[in-house]
Amino acid sequence: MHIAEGILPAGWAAANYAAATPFVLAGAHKITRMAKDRPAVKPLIGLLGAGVFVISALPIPVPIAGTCSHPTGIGIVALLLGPLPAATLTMVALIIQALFMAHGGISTLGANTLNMGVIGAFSGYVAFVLCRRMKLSLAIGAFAAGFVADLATYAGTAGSLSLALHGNISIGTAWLTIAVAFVPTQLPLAIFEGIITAGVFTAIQERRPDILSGINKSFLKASKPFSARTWGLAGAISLLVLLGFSLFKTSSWEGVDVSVVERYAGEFGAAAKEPFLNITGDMLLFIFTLAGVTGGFFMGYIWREFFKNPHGVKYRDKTEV
Amino acid sequence: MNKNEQSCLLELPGENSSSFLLKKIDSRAKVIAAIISLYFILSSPYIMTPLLIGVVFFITLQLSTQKGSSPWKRLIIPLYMAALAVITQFFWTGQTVLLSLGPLAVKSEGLKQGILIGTRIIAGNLVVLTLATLTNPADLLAAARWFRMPTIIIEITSLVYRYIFLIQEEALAMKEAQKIRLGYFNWHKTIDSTVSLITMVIIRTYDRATRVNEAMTTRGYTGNLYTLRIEHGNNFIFQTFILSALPGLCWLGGNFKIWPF
Repeated sequence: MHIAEGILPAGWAAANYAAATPFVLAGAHKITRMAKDRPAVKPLIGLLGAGVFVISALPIPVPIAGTCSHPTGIGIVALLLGPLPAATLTMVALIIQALFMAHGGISTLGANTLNMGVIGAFSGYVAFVLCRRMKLSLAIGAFAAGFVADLATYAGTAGSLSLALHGNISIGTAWLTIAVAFVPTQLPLAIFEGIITAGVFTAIQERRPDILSGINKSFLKASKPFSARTWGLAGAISLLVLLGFSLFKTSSWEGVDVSVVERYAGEFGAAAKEPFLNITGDMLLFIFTLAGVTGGFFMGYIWREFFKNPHGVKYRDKTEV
Repeated sequence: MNKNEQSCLLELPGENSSSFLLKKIDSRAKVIAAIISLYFILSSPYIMTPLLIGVVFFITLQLSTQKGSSPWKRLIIPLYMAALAVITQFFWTGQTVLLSLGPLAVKSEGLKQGILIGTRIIAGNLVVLTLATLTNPADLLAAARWFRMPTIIIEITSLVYRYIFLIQEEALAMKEAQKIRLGYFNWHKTIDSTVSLITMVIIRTYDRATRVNEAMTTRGYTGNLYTLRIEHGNNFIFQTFILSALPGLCWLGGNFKIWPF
């Protein structure tokens, strides 16, 4: 994160500002409404902004990308305040960092806010809500929020840089180059941030649960599980999207083994050999289906052994029948 | 947090600058001049424009900094990033190959583009650093209010600015206590201590924020801060014109066809 001052040309800097501004203003509006209900929210938001500032002020320069890497802290803020106020707060912290620490910049403030405050906060929050609605524990949800927010922030930063600096190479190649350059520092940082976020929320829930419900009312709503109707709707939409993609696909489908593994293995002189058991056609499909059905039934039968049983009900206790 | 990181947070440049003439100029004029300078730096396709503007701000910063204060250390990371951005552009931009390094090739157009981006980064950071050095944070917020930035954002910015020191002080005290008790002895203990530190900071400051709000309410706080309404001087337009003329001249100078690049 923190694209340095001067990296983005004027046009791209303006475009990033235009993209980030609606979210920042909507966040400011939401904070105003929260402060009307409860004026104590303002000092609290000031504190959280300062917290983001302190956490994200430890930069580690990343080779190739022309930027630096560090924990964002955005997952914690997005969960405590909600994604929209988090966008506003991120912009505030970034202004102070740009002015007083030369981290980021004024012209790149829009891009940095968009990547960290909008893409990072929203993706982290969505990851948390999805985990909680699938009845996963708070710790897993918070880990997902911290991890996803961090990675999404850096994916967005790689996107902003590649759009502005790709030169003669394709935007995709530039994005991949920059994103790969982030991986050595960012992947461990994202895991670390996920662990920290999970630990912090578990500890707050144990010691002071009033803080979680006191700041952001939607935090508790996010933990409500999905209804069967929502699951059905999500499944139907997914099927429609897949159907839409298949309609636009003209050539024959290739698996990842053919399109990626075999292709690159061939290019580097290790062409694929004939398999030991060469099963093709309908028989192959039948074996795959059989394996899937067997595995599905097996998992379906013992799935409660794998996941936490929140109510402590003994489903296989025959004395209850 | 080591000593360098502490000093990086605690030494705010706007509070350390000398009583240089530019510090007395209206903060609104300085903000406008900085934005105009940044626009010229980022929009010009010629290397000379950011170079000239960078030289002007370098001289200004050199003249306005007190002995002993070190704003230059804040340029180390931008300089490193500038170097990296320059190198990537060598390989990514252009067709005319200057030098082949195995699968990579340095191109002449990329060389020019890389130097342009590198100069932009350095000049842009000098502009922002000069603005921060010569302007008090409270004046900057007052200018932001005059520019019609939403009040809530200005209030939160001032609160964040105030709480940075509070959080840092509390966090450092707790971290020292953890270190004394071997809280960072190994990887597992480090994660455990960090989680505990962040949790306690959030809990303590939540309680402190509630107490501060109660104290403010007893003193008549209704949800709005009025301390940022600073009276501005009368020479705003004249000062803006003078300050903006300099980057404007640099922009014109950079566009002349007398330079080799």
